[in-house]
Amino acid sequence: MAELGSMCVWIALALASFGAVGSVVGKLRGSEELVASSQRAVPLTVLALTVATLSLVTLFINRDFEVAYVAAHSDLAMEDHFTWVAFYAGNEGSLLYIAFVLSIMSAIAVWRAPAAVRDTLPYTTGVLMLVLTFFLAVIGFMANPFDKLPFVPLDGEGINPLLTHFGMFFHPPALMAGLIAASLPFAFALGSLLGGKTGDEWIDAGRVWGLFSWALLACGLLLGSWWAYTILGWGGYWFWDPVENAALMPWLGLTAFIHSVMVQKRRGMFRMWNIVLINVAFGLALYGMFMNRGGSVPSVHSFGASTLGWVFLLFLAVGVIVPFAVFFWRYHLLKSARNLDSMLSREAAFLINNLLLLGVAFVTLWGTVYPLLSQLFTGQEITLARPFYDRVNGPIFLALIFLMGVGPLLPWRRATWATVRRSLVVPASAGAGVIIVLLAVGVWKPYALVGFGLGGMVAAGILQEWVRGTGSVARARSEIYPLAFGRLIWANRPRYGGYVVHLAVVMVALGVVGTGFFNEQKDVVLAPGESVTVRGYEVRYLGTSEQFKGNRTEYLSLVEVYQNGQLKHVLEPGRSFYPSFNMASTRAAIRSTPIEDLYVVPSENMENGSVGLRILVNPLIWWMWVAGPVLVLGTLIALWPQAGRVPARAVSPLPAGGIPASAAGPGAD
Amino acid sequence: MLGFPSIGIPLLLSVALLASTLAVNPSVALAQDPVPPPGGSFDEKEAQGIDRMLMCPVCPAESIDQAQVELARQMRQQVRLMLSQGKSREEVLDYFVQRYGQHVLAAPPFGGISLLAWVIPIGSVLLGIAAGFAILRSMTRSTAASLDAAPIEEQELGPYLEAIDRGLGLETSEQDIVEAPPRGTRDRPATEERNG
Repeated sequence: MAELGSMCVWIALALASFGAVGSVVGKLRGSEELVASSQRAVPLTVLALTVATLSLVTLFINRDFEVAYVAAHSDLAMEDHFTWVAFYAGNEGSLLYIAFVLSIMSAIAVWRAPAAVRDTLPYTTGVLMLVLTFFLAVIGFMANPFDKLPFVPLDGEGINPLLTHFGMFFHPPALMAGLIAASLPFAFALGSLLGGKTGDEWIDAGRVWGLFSWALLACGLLLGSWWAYTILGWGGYWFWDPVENAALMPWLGLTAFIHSVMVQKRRGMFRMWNIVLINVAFGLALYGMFMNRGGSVPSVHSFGASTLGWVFLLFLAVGVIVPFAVFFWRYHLLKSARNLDSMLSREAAFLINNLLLLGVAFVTLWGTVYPLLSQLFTGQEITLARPFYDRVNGPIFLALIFLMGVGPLLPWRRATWATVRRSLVVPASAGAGVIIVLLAVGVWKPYALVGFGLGGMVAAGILQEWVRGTGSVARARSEIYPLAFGRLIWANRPRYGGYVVHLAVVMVALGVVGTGFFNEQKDVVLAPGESVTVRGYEVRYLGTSEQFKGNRTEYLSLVEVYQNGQLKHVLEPGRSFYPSFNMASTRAAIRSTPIEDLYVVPSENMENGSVGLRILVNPLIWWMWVAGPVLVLGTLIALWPQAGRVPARAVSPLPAGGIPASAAGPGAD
Repeated sequence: MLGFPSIGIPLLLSVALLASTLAVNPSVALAQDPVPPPGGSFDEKEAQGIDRMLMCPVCPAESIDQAQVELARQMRQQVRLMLSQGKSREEVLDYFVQRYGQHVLAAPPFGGISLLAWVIPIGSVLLGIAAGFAILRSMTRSTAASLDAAPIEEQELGPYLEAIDRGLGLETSEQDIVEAPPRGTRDRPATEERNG
């Protein structure tokens, strides 16, 4: 089985490199057969990697400990469904996962490529297969999950206990898939550029795959935060750790891209900018993978610790330099179809939004590399951690939320102050209303006030659009409101899907501001029977039970929660100790409501039966987790294919004239 | 895996340390005792604020508020002790800088040589935005004379709305339903008019 898997990796490598070279050479030589056969190699890599993946799964199910990777990441006690997690618990497996996902996405992208990019598709295929070749070569030569041990251990080392959480079933795969998915919009952009098609041909494919990658990363980030919140035992969800940052930065780049790509789609502007943005996003995604696959230690200082790190660094350098070289080579062809009409327009708002997003990415990158730089230049290491990011990125995020409220309400091209007033009066008063109400109830934190006010403004702006639109449709068609609302959203999915996503962002902001400024934390040590009160919750500790469960000792603490003297909840926060890992994991007990979470987590279990508890009251954090499904829903709406669309796109140079009657259809977006 | 390794190591460390201390002396773990250390009271909120400003020296990328290793516990205790002795936040932070070096601070002070750490990113962002404005401005200026730039909202709305209505199958023109002209019409200004 291990031989089969290994063989399939090599076959896939051969196929991918053939696909990369063949499609480009075929295109250059004008040989359609060669191009066609290279493109057929793409689905074949999927086949080969499916077999390789299944082989590894089978090896895990059989607990074939002769295979080093299986021995390192599973044991006999592991339940079978954790195979899913064990698969990507180490470098080798996650690289195989990344390659597998990339091959599937490439095959779909090549197969479903819109007509507009057909001409440059060989280059796009070449780029995708080149990236795949890199990953497969790394797997084959440096990190083969099918490598065997010289002996067969009796039992494996077991799965990392931190991975045995529900969130871990989705967080790493979503993030890894999201990072590698950034290759697709990049490949379409670079392919077009290489082929000399510098118009808007690649924009549709780029937008769809960009959004896809963006949504995967967003889900991955939210799931990761949720995992950190429930299992890490300190009550937070995000701490600007270098590895977290590495996943956040490409997401920021893609957020900028999916906005600015709409400007090109609709207005033929920002052509160079979009290429730059997708190059940057891809570079950041590579950096993200490099940070995570380069070594298992999160610190910036461990780059060189594994040889894998250097290979990734090299690939990162190539992946950043080459696209920009191509960009400058084609620079003279990349002229915008039109110029900007007014500073007071949606285009302008989008560009500023892009700059702010890149600003956050830059600040984050700066914070990640500064400790290295300071060490290098001054010999003194200076840390930039959470207070730095909060202080510098916080205001930028607020500005972004402001633009999120204003931008979509501005018309394309130009707005007059009258239209701005008309569309902004409701949201602005809603925002002001929120602030006044909060002031009235005694909230005096300026940051939080601005945050909530802006959130109210964005939400009111979106609701205003929905209400007005629904009202018009309902009146025009004499339909009931729910139906009219559905029709409204359906008629312009990219726009209204985007609004749903914006609402999700507001929900996340609610959670961030709520917990960031209004939470309360208490660390206590309680003997059985003792209690402590945190913001109206009386937490009484009853005792701890100790249970041996195969690979771990589980300590379950029994905690009663009283409010106003009445028993409200019985909680069982737990802590497990894994002797074979010499490692503990915690499970916080969380009572969640839209208003606030009560969060109880044991930090210690003492021999005399007392327990160290960290108790937090986190206001509004519930909204952050609910935002996840809302965000997915919005993305799905935005991505849902437009029926009856007119696939032909204007290319440079632009045709002149009015609206062709045939094009006036429901495809409006 | 993303996000995971960062936590594995500190936890591993923490548990290793924890296990060793527990084995020797279980009462060490009482360092988190909420009872204020002898000598006076202190503001727990302030103490937590200081906790978040101090990095745990033995666990990468975690503040002592998060880290569960023994050293972080002792540092938290020390913070509370110093606060209860009437020390200010600066004095507490200085104490730890002298013991562990500058990098124990989660962010450098806004001044001195580490001013660069703050000024460069903030300055770059401001500069980027200023450049963006300048570019936008120049883009607007170059079109100022073109015919295209005539006020658009009223005069070009008619055909655009008709197209939308046809698309939606609406009888009357309702302007705020769909924002865009159909595809393939990019030379038409994509006017968007809402509610009027």
